[in-house]
Amino acid sequence: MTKHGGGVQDAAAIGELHRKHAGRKLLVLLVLAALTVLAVLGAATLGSASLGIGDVVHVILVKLGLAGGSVDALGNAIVWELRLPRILLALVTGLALAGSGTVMQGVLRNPLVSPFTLGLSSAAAFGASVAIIAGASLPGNLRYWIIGSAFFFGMATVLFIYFVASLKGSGKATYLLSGVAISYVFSAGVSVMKYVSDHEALREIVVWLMGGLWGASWHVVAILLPLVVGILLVLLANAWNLNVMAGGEEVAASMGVHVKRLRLLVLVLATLAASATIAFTGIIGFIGLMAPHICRMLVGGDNRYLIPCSALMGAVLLIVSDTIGRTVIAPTEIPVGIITSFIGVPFFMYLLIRQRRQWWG
Amino acid sequence: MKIVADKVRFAYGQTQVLREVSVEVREGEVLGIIGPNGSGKSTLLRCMGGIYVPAGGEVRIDGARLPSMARRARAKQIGYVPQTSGEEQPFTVLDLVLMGRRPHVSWGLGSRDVAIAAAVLGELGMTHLAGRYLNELSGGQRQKAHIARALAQEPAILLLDEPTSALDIRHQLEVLEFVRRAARRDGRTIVLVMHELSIAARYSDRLALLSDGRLHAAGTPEEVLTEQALQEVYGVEAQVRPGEYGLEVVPIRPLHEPEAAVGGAAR
Repeated sequence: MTKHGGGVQDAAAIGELHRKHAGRKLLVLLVLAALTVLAVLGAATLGSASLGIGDVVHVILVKLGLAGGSVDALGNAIVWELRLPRILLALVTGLALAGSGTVMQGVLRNPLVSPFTLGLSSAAAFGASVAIIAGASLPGNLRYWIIGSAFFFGMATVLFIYFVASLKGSGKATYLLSGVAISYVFSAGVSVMKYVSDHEALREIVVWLMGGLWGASWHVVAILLPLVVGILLVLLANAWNLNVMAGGEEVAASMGVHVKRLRLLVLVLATLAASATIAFTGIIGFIGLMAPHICRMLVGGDNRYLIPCSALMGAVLLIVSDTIGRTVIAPTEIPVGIITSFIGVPFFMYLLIRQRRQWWG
Repeated sequence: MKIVADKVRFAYGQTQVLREVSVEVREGEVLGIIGPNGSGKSTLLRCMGGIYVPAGGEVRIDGARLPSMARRARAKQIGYVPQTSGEEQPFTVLDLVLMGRRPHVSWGLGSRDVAIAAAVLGELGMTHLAGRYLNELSGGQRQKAHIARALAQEPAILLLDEPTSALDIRHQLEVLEFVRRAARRDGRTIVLVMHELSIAARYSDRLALLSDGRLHAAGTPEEVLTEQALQEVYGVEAQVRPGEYGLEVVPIRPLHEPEAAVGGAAR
């Protein structure tokens, strides 16, 4: 026979447990939000000209019209024109890569999926190289051609993988193997591009492939920030649907989720966010894989908390990485893609080894 | 609530899996679906749950055709628990059970949702496991957690695909006693896919025996589970005798007639 618990006591205990868990998740979220603000402000104080955090806050408040007074030309140039756009590009790229990694892992029920592992990054790299090579013969601003081409190839890749998976069944191996295969094809394509390119184009391709935030400007931030935040909000609105996907596609369907539509929506939006930022920054690996995993260890699998937590975690990681990259051997800058690999991988391995629980068996 | 599958047909690609299968389950009744591997049991269950859309025929609950119902409205009426998959994501038992409230909530969970989860966990004797992560549980506890999730949905109809396959005999009995109580006491309509014939006979009010995508027989366990039916459908020689606790089915040996071999072949 079933053991019967104490009824009322049980209900109170469960309610208490639920409050405790929810409170802890909310706390993690708030701490991450605070860390993000601190990272932005802290990063703005660091660099060749050292500024106090008070100076930085002053410049920002004056520029936003929230405080009176005036800003000196140097402060304006360094904080507002140089550092902040770059920091905000790091922020939005981190949000996009980590957020899209999280939902891709969720909707494909696969812990190894990220913009990087699905082949999206190499496809975007190929697209960018093509535009760089074709550079001179293209009308208009080359920057936009690079962005457009990177984006086009990224999106085409994800739709192709989705198509293969819908033919072949959405087993774990299908997505990863297609992603690996596509990565190889496009890497080979990039090599061809490098081989046939002239000296200048070659340099530009190599720099783009390393992944960096040199391309930052208020203009870029103004394009990306609304796009990425908007996409994250739509994904967040689907948090419950993503949660029930955890029980399997059939369970999700039985609970009223239109599984195919959800999968397509999430993949397209995640790809849009990731490849839009990749187009401006080049390839930055590991954020999209690392941030969701760290946050899953912190808040568990509930996407209502997981999506915002890992997006913020991605932003913090990327801001910190880029700040290290541009200050550690200044005036020489290390591309942020190299830094994320250097700090990201050992940290990730440490967590994996230390971690008691293993998600996804 | 009554659920009816009316001449349901279903195919995976070119392979016909269900050929005009009709079953009817009344309110408060437990129907056991039995049959050899590949006979279409799980597919029938999924069609009844609205997870698969039949290629022909239809599924109705209290007269309403499934495809015409809104997804969420359907999810409030029908709960479904698949076979255990073995892999779990980072959720606690309580997280999972609260997930069952999905059709009833839009974003936040209220105290009523938590109270329902608590009641279900208490009923299944799982309160002490509420804070544990799924992958820290034994197979049987995990299976019960998934059933608890479906119960938190408060469905009138509960569809369970081999709910006892991962369980030891004690947990099997616990779960099936519980299922029977859910039908008798709470008036839920229950459909079970089962492999173990004696257990199926004991806990089902009626059985539906599938063979190669067709309904071979439906009725009380005594009507359906005959030695002849076991020969024809499973291709085994077996002894069926009434025991103190329902029918006892004792399989003796596989038959090697070509006909039986075809009928029993797994797809």
